[in-house]
Amino acid sequence: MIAVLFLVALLVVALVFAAVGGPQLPIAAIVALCLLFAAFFCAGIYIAAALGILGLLVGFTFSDRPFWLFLGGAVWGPSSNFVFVAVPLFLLMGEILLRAGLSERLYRALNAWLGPLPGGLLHTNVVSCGIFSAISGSSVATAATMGSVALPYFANTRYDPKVVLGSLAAGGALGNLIPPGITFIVYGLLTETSVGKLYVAAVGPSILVMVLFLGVIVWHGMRTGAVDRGPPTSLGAKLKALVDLVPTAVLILVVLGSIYSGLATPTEAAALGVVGSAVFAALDGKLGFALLNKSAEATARSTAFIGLIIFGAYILNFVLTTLQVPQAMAQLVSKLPLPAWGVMALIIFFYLALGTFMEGFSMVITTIPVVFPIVKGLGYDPIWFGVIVTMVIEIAMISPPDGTVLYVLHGMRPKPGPISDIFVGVIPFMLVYMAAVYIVLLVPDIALWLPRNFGR
Amino acid sequence: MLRARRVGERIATWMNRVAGWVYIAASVFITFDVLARQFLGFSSKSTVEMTGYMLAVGISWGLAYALVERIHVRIDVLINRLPLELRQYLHGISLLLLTVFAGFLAWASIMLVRESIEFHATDLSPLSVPLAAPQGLWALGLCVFFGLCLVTLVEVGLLLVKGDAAAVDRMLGQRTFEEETEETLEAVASVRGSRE
Repeated sequence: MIAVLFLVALLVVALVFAAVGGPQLPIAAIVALCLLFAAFFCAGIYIAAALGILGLLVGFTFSDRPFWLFLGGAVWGPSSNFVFVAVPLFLLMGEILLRAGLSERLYRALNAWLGPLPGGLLHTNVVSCGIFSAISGSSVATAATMGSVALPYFANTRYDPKVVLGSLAAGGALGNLIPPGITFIVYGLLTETSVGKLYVAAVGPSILVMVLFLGVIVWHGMRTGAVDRGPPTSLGAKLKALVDLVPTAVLILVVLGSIYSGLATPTEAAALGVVGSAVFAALDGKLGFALLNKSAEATARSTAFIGLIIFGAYILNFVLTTLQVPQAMAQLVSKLPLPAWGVMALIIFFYLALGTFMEGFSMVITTIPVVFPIVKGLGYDPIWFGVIVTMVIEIAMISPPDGTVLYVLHGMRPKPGPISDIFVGVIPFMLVYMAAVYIVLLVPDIALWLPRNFGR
Repeated sequence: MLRARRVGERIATWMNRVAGWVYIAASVFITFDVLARQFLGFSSKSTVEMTGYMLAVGISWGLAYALVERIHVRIDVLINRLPLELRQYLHGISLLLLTVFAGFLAWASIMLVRESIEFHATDLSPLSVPLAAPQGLWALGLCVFFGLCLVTLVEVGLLLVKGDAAAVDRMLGQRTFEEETEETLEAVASVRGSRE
């Protein structure tokens, strides 16, 4: 928390510092706005209400036009936007899959292949979380689901509980980076960037992070010798395991395949995914009214909370844009005596700090309208920045001491132990994740090469 | 618990259920359109508009239930460490601001509907749907959300006067990770149970 306050202070100082010799800007107003924002958040005000009411306050204070007459339309826009339709559909698909019992088969099947490697079951943790999150979209749900499946496998083994929990948390943090993540849809909606291109751009970084994670486990496995290695499985067992992977593979093929081949937009792919997962649930004899109804209710609830924050953000954004604040901010930052990469580093640290106590969607929706014009003004690629933001948010989700995923896993441990076990276990994964961000910063082509050559 | 709030919660639960099924309907609709376009060579040409309206209705009809389930996001790291006597008032202030915001949204949405009626606004799809229809359903959800906020605010006010801080905390404190985990596990387990 101290780090958070320090970073926010640093940002404010940087702004004031820049303003001394800068153009005429309502700096006092901006600082006051930031402080009010901080006060709202400290008091635990609903994020959506904080955004919306700030928007109204700013509007009534600074605008001389009847801006409130346009806000109904400003809110109706995003709430009936076809791009945004993908959010509830991907959530719905995840909810159906959660109840269709796919997770256990996925884990078992992957284990037949990955178990014999040095590091054994730990690889299965990362890969199964990665795959499951690719179709589920929520890191917390992924960690909880895969944790409930995986943890029993580790009972009475000599695996180090720290690494076991750490690898599960790390796997959960792949959720939104591996397409089709929901963060990308929200980012695409807010910045009017192509979600399809974002998904293409995420492929390289996803592979990079996954390889680094597996590297950590191999390194850990080598260090502890042959202890963490499962018994070799026969080829027959491996092939039989493939059958269990079929539903997952088909779904991924349908959803990502239709997006990447250009046959469908992300929203359409999400709809195909919903119907596809319902078909697999039906083939298993699990599809019934209860399953659909529960999935529908959970989806509506989650979409409502994301929607309300979007309403608030669009009101604030509308007012700020009529007052030209984002443009002014962008101009101001471009005049900072800081190189572009310095600003980018500040932004990344800001997100990491924010992410320790803020939920991912809220963070994107709240900050992107202000941060994005700055980043664009500095000449960075919007697609590339979307990937970076998503990676940084995922890191924040698993960074001690506040990461949500960590507490979820802690609550599920069969044998109780201190929470510090998870903190220690996740740190190597966090460090390589940060290294991955650094690599993508240095070599933007890891993200951008694919959309440039294959994007439409 | 106030009777009005109990009624409100029941309405919210039903509206949320409808919202959920609207999403299921939207998936089926879009899937049909994609498949028809690929294999049969026709399309309704109004999927984008229609599913957009479905989303708008889905969001607004789910808002009230999300309040009942305490799922609207707040940043609670700080207030959870405050003593209960102080926290109850912060809960009250939060709800008050949420009610103001919801009230504004409800008002703005009604204004939008009136405007659409006045100008006979329709969308650009082949169906030329009058915009007032989906916007009206959308506004209804926002009004119900505002109504439930108001009723809850009254009840919280009464509890604050009575000094029942624990009840306020139960009503408004954000869902904890434990609750979230428990629910996910329940969802997974319900299926496993039915298989055996």
